[in-house]
Amino acid sequence: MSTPDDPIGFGESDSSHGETLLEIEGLTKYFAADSGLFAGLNFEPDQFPPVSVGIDQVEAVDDVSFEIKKGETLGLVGESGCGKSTLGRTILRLLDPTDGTIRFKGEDLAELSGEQLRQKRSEIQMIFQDPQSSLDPRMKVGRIIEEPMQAHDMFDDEGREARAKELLEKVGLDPRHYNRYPHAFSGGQRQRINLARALSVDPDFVVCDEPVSALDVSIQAQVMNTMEELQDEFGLTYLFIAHDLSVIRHISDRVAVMYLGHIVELAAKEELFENPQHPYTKALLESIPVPDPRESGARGVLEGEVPSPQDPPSGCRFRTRCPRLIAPEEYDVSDEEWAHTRAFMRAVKRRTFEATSAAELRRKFFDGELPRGEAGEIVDEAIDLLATDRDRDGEGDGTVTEDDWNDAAELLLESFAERSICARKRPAYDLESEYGSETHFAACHLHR
Amino acid sequence: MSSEPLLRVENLKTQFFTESGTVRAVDGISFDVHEGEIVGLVGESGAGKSVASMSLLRLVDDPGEIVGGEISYRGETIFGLEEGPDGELREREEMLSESEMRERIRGREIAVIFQDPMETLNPVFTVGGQLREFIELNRDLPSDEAKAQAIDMLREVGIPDPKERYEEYPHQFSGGMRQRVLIAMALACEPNLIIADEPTTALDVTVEGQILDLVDDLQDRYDTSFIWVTHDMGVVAEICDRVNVMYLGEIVEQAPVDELFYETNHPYTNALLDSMPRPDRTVEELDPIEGVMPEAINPPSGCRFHPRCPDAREVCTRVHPEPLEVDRADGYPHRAACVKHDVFDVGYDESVPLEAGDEAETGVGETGTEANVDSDSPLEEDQASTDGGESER
Amino acid sequence: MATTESQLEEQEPGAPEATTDDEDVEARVGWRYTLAKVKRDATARIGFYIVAIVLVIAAFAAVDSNLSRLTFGALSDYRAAQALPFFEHPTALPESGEAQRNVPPAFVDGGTLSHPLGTDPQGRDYFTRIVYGSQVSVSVGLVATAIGLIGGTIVGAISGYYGGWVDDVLMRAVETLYAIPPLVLIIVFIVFVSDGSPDIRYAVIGVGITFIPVFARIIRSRVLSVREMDYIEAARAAGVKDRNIIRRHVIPNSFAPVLVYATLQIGVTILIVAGLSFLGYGAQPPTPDWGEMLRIAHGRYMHSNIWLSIWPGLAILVTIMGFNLFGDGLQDALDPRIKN
Repeated sequence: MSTPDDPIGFGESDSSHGETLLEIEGLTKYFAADSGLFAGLNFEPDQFPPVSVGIDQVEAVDDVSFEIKKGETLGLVGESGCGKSTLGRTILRLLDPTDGTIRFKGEDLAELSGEQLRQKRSEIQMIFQDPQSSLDPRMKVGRIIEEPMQAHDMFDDEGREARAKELLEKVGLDPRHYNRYPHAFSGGQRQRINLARALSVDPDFVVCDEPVSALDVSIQAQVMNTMEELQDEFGLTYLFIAHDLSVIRHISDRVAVMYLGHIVELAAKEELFENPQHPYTKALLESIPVPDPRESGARGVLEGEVPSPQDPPSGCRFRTRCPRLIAPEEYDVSDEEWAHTRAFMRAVKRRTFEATSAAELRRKFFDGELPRGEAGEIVDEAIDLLATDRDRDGEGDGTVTEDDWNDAAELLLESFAERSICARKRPAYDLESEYGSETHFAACHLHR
Repeated sequence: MSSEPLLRVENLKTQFFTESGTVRAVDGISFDVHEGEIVGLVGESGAGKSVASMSLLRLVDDPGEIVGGEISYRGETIFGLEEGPDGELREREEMLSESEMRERIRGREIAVIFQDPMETLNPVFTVGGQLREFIELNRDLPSDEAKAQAIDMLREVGIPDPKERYEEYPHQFSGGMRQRVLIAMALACEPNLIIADEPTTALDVTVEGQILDLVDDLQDRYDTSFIWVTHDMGVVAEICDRVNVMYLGEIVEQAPVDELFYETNHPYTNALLDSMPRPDRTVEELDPIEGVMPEAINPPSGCRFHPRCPDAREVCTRVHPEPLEVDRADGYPHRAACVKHDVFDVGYDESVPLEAGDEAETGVGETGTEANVDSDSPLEEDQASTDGGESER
Repeated sequence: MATTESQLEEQEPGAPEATTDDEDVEARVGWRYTLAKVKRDATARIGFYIVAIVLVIAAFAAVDSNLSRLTFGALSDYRAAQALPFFEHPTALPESGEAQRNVPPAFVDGGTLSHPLGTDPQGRDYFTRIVYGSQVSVSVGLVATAIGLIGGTIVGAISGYYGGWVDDVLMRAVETLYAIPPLVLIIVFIVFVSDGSPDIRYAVIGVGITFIPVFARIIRSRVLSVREMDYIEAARAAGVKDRNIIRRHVIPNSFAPVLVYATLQIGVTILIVAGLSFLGYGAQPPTPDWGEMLRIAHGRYMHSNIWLSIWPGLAILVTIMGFNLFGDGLQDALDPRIKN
């Protein structure tokens, strides 16, 4: 293979490390829940006219702000459906933001469109998760790598070929594989081709969407090492999206944790892993199985499931599952009483138990002792609704109906959950870091 | 430990006869499962762990076939061969027939939980209906009793409001909830052994945590044994009592879980542990295993791991090690298939170390598949599609 | 016409929109592989050979009628000296008055080797007419299918790739077209455009148009899934222009199922056009079209000379079977789930 005298301009980028490369403010992306000709029309038979206009929205990303400095890797971690991929794609303007700014090198990408945006794309690239579907099966590897260069009119045919071959070598593949089709490569190799394609236009910023999660562990390590080497060599900045906290811990400089469209915590890596300040982050960290048989034991498993982003909880979106939900101020309850009430409330909402006698319910959830004051009265009322032996006016068959469950759940939620500060106000606090000097952002009212 | 294992597998071999050659997916593995324990079967994709677990129920699809070895469950022969009068191998007489397998073993004695619950559950029937039918069939209960059982099982596996959800369809359940349904289904007949094939791989960590806790809890209550197939060492550490590490169709190390992590005796296990990023501490430099797993169609000579092994010596290219006992812990043997241990006595110490790159071939890393793609012909697809590297999601 | 036809032939076995040179090379590698797979399948192979033979015969008849006369003329006194451009009505009738009319096939009593399939009531050699008929039928099949395929691919690809209101508008239009019974649509079209003198050209275009909806829908459904592939998003992220994405990625990757369908559709087209000719809306006498030959044979000579009906019927049957077998084989070859 012939290596030209680097006509291509590999090598360090001009601007120095440390300055802000990308600044995102109030970025929001809502999707219409359905689409189609009549998507905006809803049929509601119980009202007149039985049709209403209005599109249901899925709040995939809601008012997210952060910045990424030149040369760093920001890890973005969260469970499936939390909006992390949507965020990445919105930053790349593969999706149109609903609101907010994406300031890249001082220019707002959210404002760009058409040809201007297309030309900007050479500076921001993306690596995809699925090694199978991210390469066109009908295109040769060489062409795949050259395509972005071609789109931006970089070099002539020969120059492109030379650069493609050089890149193949850089990412750890044999340049002689230039003429092969993607199916001839293994998963790890395909991710390397992905890398080469992304780097072909010499971008400054690369969004990596779960680039190693489809790979075996040993291959993961190889690819991550290559990514780190290339980052140093080309002065790249990564937004590294992953669900795997171990991978994030290895590769990131700073880490943002996402839950249901919000960033709940953002801090330097060491700080986030060693001193997590958001209950969700803590729960996440506790639930990862550690590859060490002597470490198992304390595991704080999260209850319940992620609510629908179509109708997310008000205030803090994690509050419906949060083990530290804050008691409403108007009730004077002890921590223990509040813990009981909280557990009871959630159990009623999820119906994890069968209706029994009032005494049994009291014993089961409150050790027989209801909270003091108003809170206790409300709980008592709810228990009454669910008790099989309650005193019913008129009908005394003791069955607890669907309506009773709903009434009880509604009563408890409205009296407790909805009155908590967690439901009333969206939290956002900057804290001092224990490790390092960077600010530690935590979206939790415990830090108010 | 208890004398008679629940399940004993000896020298099991499963091969796939494809146009491009014989794929020796499982090539002579032996292990036991005792009552009440969780045995891990761990390895990267392509190691043969799923094929091995399916072979235990004789559920290997064409063109695959179990070609050798013995599987016995509580003294009954699930699979066994003997030499016929003409010297050819034939199935032993006491081997359970297909209908016996279907009626007595599968589901009732040994149940399976798959990775993807969406593929196991039929989308057009209600979850409850499917569970009820399964119970009806396998436990000969009348419909209404089976329904009551089904609702009980749903509650048992932590599905809230089971009566209501009994009527719902699989797509109305989240991934974690569907996996719970499958666990309920597996437990429904109170089997003695459950084969769990990557049951948590497709799930989020917090959900995975919930499922692992559930399994722990259920295992305490029912004393069911598990064979837990996974690629995740974290899950292994969390849940397994004993572990079998598989590489290219073979078990390379077999040990109680604590031993495996703290007295690692096979270089592959070691390398696997070293190549993993850790959630509990920051690892600055990952130490990946070089190359990819070769294909089972044409495994390397000698020790199959030697082309990627940091400890490989010349002797490793010649001698094929069977797992031998190198240690004992908690009354269980610690076996490792590596000639560097003294029990092998094949002259490892005197042998010349292999230079890195000598055997690791062209050096760019993932050499395994490269051997197969030397020509540019797109007809190579058959081989390429079975390459290593991708996980099984 | 000869050139168009041979282009079609060339493209037919699977070239996804050959555009620039190097792309052509890639595509060829892709379908060389497919053809290799087709060859392994016995059914597909038979289909392939039938199609190939029919195509060769048709090409012969089209390229040079002198050549065909050399080949077949020895057996015939039918003069087809003048070139026979497609869509021109052959006017050739036997020159001399002493043409033998209604000669039975050679293997029947009274038959003669110089007219292996006999002659028609005008005294024209039936074998030659069948051979020329292949040209009409095959051209008709290819051209009509090509109209449907190209139209459908454009509509379907745009509709599927852009989605939204573009999709809505195009698909509703296509569905409207789909809702009209095809034969009615074709006949109305022919009557409307032909100004009272039906011609096979109009039949072909009409049939082609009725195919657009089906092709559009198949392409669209494929595009909808291809559009979700990461490589499409990768191309967008790389800044590749939309039309290049459609051209380079979307269409080539959506093409396989359509291609199979198109192959099967060629047979259907031949049948429909034969039917139209039979009804009098297609080829007009004396054009040697199988359907038209059937019409005449059936209408007037059904009892007096059954062979006149059998030969074109057989020709249609074999040709359609060939395309169908080939299409089925292609389908198996292109289906990634069926390996080996």
